[in-house]
Amino acid sequence: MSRGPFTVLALALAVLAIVVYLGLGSLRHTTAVPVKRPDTIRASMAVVGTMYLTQNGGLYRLEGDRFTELQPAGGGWTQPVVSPDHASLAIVKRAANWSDVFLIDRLGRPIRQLTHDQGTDVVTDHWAFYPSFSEDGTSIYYDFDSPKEGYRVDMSIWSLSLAAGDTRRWTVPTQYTGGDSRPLELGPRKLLFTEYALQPDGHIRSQVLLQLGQFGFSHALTKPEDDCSQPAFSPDGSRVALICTGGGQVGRLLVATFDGTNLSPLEVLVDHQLCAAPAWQPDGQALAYLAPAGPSGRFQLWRLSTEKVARLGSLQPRQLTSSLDFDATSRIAWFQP
Amino acid sequence: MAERKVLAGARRRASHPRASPSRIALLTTLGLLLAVLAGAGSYFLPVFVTATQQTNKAPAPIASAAPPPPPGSPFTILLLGSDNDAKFPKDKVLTQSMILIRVNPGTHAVTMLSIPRDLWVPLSTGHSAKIDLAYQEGGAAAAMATVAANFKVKIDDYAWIGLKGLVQLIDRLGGVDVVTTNPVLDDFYPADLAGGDPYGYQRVAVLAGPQHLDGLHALEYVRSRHNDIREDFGRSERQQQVLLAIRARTAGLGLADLPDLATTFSGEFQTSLSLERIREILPIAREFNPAGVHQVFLPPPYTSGLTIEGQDALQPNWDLILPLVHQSFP
Repeated sequence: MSRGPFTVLALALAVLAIVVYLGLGSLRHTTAVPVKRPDTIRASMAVVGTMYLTQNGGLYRLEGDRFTELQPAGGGWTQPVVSPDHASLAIVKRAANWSDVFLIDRLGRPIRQLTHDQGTDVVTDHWAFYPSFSEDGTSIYYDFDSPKEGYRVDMSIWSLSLAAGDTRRWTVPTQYTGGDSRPLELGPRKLLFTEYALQPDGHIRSQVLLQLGQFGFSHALTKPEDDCSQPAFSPDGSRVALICTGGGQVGRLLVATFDGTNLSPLEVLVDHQLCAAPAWQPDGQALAYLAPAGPSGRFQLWRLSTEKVARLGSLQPRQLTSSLDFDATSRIAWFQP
Repeated sequence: MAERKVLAGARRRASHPRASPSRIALLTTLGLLLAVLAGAGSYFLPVFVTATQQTNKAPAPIASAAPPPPPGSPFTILLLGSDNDAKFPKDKVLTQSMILIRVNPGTHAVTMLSIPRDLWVPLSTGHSAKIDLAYQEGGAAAAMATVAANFKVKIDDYAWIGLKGLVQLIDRLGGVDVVTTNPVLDDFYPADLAGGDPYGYQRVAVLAGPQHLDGLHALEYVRSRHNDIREDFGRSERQQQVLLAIRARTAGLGLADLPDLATTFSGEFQTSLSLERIREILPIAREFNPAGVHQVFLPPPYTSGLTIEGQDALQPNWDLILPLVHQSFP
């Protein structure tokens, strides 16, 4: 027998060894799924109005089914919110040890830096998170970690006048819990926020509180055992969407009607899904939210009709994106230009 | 001349006889087998290297006292997590996290007991101190012996993981999904992994709510300890949350994932479990329901604060702890 067939056989066996190696590799589950940039994909359906979302520190706008990158990834941009006149957005820019609130225009271009929280060390650095506009748009409310002392660092709710720049503290948080978060002004001197507090069962739970006036009387809109947060009001202010975890590791999306003082019993819209960041469609007929999808566990954009007729029918939450990685601790800013 | 050529041809044929079909089939089969083994061997090489270096590290006193439980029977593992950063010499680290896990494969029942690192107990190394010192003084053997003696439980195996190992594991899994219970803020979080100064500080703000955490942020969530009203008990709860989130991500893993994990764990993981035992346990992890996991912590009145030898520590109330522990751990 000549050497030719042996060479061919040896090559074939080497190829087989490589095929076995690669074949085993293809059975892996640990390989992280690559994340795409939002502006490289299209949403599975067109949305009403304009949405702003953040992913990996970048700011993106969704109009119809197309995303546009307004600020590139890695910039620390998060938690956008649209001003009442829809002319600008307040947004957080987060650095390693501090964060600041900025005003930006609808194209994502910075107009003004509203807070200056970079100090000289970890003691003088500060965090500012979750800005929201007052109803008249003349000031913003936000989480701010002042005062802090020693190891204690908790968020209080503060306001900042956009014209004069003067600040005012509104709440006194429960110490060593992370404090108060996500303020929303519901009218003059009427402030809604999420409080984190230690409960008698030894766990820290969140409750949505309504406070009247600076350091004023507050009453709870939700029960501690429901562990609710992230309230989002419908455009007409009559309904509120909430994320409630019941102290567990599964989120639920719920809605209730709001009479200006109290909530009706909570109604579950989505169960057994790690929902976050609910936002109302500008006409109030649907909700968008973020939740993991697929094997990656990364948060995608979902939409759910809130109309009773639709929900009693066959409509289910619809996944609008895949292969993205939206920041679930951020917010969806959604409005009709 | 012609006759000589014929003879020469016959000699060549005699020295290279035509292979029979059965011999060719045998050689081909052997060749195929060799090729498959070579491919699989190369693929699983990191597993063999890790298995040699990091598994089956049974501390001698425990190994001799406790034969491995038969397959399918309940077993107890002590999970240890350490700050193995530049502040400590290699293998001389404290255990920031000690979680005793009891698994009953038959009933799919799982109990996780977080042991406070500040618990003041007699160590197996011969004096009393915080329980996190046991590993530093006598390695896994001392940590296991100390827990076994004080909690009066039988421990079958241990698994130790370092900070970077945890970060790399979570990143390799593509991150974990966690509902963080409250904003975890810390102005004095060690900057030992991110910066060059092992004694430096950085600020941490892990915001509240459902989110996807990469390895570094998951570590911040489970390691931060300065601004929690529940002190180390809050941190223990966060550690168990992330542990269950890791289990959820590993539920779909199979044999083909072992090389990736072995590479991830390079130098950051040690266990007394053999590779064969790990292969047996992996499917069990898939079967239990995380919602049904019994999580046990030891806040007051099981423990109470005390200052001893100039250190803030926790005094165990064994009259309460032992009955609680023995409900789940023999």
